[in-house]
Amino acid sequence: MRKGMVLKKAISILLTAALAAGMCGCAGSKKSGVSENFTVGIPQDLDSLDPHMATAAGTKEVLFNMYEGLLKPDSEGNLVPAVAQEMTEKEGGRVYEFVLRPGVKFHNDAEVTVSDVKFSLDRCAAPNADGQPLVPEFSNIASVETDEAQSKVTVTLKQADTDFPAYMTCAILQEATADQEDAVPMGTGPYMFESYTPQDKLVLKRYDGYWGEKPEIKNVTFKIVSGTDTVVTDLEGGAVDMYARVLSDQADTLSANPDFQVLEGTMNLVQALYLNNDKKPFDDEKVRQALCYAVDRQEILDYVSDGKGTIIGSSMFPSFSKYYMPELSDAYKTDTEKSKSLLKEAGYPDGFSFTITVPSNYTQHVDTAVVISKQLEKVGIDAKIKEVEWGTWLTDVYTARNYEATVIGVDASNLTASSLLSRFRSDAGNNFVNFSDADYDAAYDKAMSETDDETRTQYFKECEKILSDKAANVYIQDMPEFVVIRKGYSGYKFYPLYVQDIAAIKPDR
Amino acid sequence: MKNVLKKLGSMVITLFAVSFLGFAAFAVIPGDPAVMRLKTNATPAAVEALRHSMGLDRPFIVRYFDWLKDFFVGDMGVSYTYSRPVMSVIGSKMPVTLYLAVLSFIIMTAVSLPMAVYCAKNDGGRADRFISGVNQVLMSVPSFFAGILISYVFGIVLRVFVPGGYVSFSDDPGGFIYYMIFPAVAVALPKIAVCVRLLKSSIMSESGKDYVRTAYSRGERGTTVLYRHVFWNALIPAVTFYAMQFVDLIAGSIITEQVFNIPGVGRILMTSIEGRDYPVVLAILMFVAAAAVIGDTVSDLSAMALDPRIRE
Repeated sequence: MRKGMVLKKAISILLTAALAAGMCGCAGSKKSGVSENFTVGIPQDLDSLDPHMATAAGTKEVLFNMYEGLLKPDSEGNLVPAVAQEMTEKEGGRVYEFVLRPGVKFHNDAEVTVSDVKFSLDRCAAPNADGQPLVPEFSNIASVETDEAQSKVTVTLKQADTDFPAYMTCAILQEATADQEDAVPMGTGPYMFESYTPQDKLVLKRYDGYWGEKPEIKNVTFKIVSGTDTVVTDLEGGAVDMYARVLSDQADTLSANPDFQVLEGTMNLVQALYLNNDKKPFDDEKVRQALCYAVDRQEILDYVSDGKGTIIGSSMFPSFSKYYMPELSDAYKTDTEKSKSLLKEAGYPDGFSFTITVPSNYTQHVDTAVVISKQLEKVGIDAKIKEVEWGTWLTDVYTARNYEATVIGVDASNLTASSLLSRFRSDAGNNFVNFSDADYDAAYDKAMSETDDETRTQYFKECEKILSDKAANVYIQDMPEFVVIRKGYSGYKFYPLYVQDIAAIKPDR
Repeated sequence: MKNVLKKLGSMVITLFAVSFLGFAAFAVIPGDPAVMRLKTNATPAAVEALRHSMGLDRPFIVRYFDWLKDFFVGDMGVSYTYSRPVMSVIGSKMPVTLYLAVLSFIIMTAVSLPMAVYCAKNDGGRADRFISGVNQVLMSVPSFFAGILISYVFGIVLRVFVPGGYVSFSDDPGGFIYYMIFPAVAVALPKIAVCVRLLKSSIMSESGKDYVRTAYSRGERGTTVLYRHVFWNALIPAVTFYAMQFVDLIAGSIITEQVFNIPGVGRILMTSIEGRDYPVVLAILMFVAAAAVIGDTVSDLSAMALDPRIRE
């Protein structure tokens, strides 16, 4: 009997303890509504807090709130002065002079000096583990000179490059604290670092010494959520206030919820059925064109994202309005007969079969591949779909180029046309589709050496036209991006690059 | 003593085997750590250079023994993703997962013991049949699915907790303890069902033995017989089983963390596998393997303690 009593007692103590623990935690639950604290859900952890070391687009879009370059991008796709007050271009784009803005301070209240700027640029120009500078384009820098009295920094290039200002968004760090950057980030942006727990969250707070317009939201938490599956629950339950890039069906669910607003922008990606131009039968231009005619882009949009998205016809998306050629999106109108006759000309009257390798973590790309595969059946082409995990895709498809076709979205790392077009030069290291065309190389090289902006733009457009004419890939769309924000906030801005500008978001009064 | 030494020896061999298999698995699966680090900046030349600087171009067996040598002196290496020592990356995650596993173990034990005794006492009754039916269903519900249901019912419908709103212990101890109850229940649910069934059948089979009839014939009452004799003998196989369940609970915790947005070992394990961050994955693998081996040893030792017949 005694033993039994002890057991009973033990169990009752355990249960009481569990209950008591339950009661005391209730106060922690959060009410929905506008507050000084704003939580943004992000799908993956930050690979580094050091803006020069971070490579993931998902990290850069967060660090944008803490760091600034001499220039920074705005939501229209222009470069605006930030740490620098003005920039002067000399010698046809070979020399750039920057005058620092007075009163720009790091988050420890120390003013930015010309030597901090020189230090930051030198840091990015130094070779990395792979032998490349952190910012590859910085290999073009011949010298960085400073003039303290005039707070002027002069960057001289080896070769003139009118795109160079776009790389000057590179973050300015403080020389004295930079060795601690990954642990204690120290930038000049509107928000300053508060704390970071790997795999959990990054907490930022408003920096009151910021030179520009001060943000209204005081505290921002970037919370790493497990994956896209739990996004709706996290938002509805109140764990996060905002999430960028929800899926189309999640956007539908959430737009029915009166607590949320769903904003629609574009992803600024070139989504295409990328073809390995080296692999048979895609080495034949006619076969590639046949695929372009066989695919019905509007139908893809209808199935994958409820008809939203912008159909494109080359490696350029609409936000880069200066370079974008809307007429190319009609270059290949769906035409089954034409597709069949092109296949016949190419020697495939009965079609052929090939495999589309897609990264399984991107639902939209997988869905797109499924629709394409169905559409190709009509012209007798049998497209099998092979889903692979992201790491495998990067290794086998992107780096080793061991694939036939893939569906993916390619983004721009900075605000230049070359960020999208350079990869199709026949000798480009990242030319994962193995596109090779002498006319393209010539046009691209002319664009790069041209210093007159208008002529240069013409050459870039010629490049886009060649990609379309030669059917380098089956271009599909710039995908829609859905951002969900709790009601009560406004001012969210879509950028043409990966940026989540929290300072722009304002609580409604 | 001989038994204990034997146990220790097999523990070491098991850990060796696990580490080798783990290492070998990474050599076989596609996806290159250097590519994962460069992401879309990966060009064949850049990958080659980085592979060299990361030492990935050395033969598999050389890399394994290098890793093993460091492991023996307590150096788990540096994470590829975070460029920080592995221990500093996962050190703070282990307590979270362990707490979740321990909490679900407590819940599992606290619920399954009385329930099994009750069912055994009222075998075949309406309540027993009901519980058996529910358990049959629960047993086949994976813990992550239970987690999704719990999130929905308690988080969205009843709003008694914020799903995905994990708070760390250092931020708010009360909030942390409270939040963890829900995932712990999710992890424990399927296990409760299994434990009830096992313990009940163990009690039932003990009840049919001769010594029980002897006890009755001595004039003892049914409850006394149950609690004094049957229960303790029935517990011997159950204790082994419960100890083994602890390992399962750790595994369950790792999966359920994803649903409840808990930054524990599970989260970092998933992202590290995706990112091919082998030093981190191997460290976690060793941690889980050690937990399994220790759990197994503890269950053997406690069975020995409870049952004199097993002792030598």
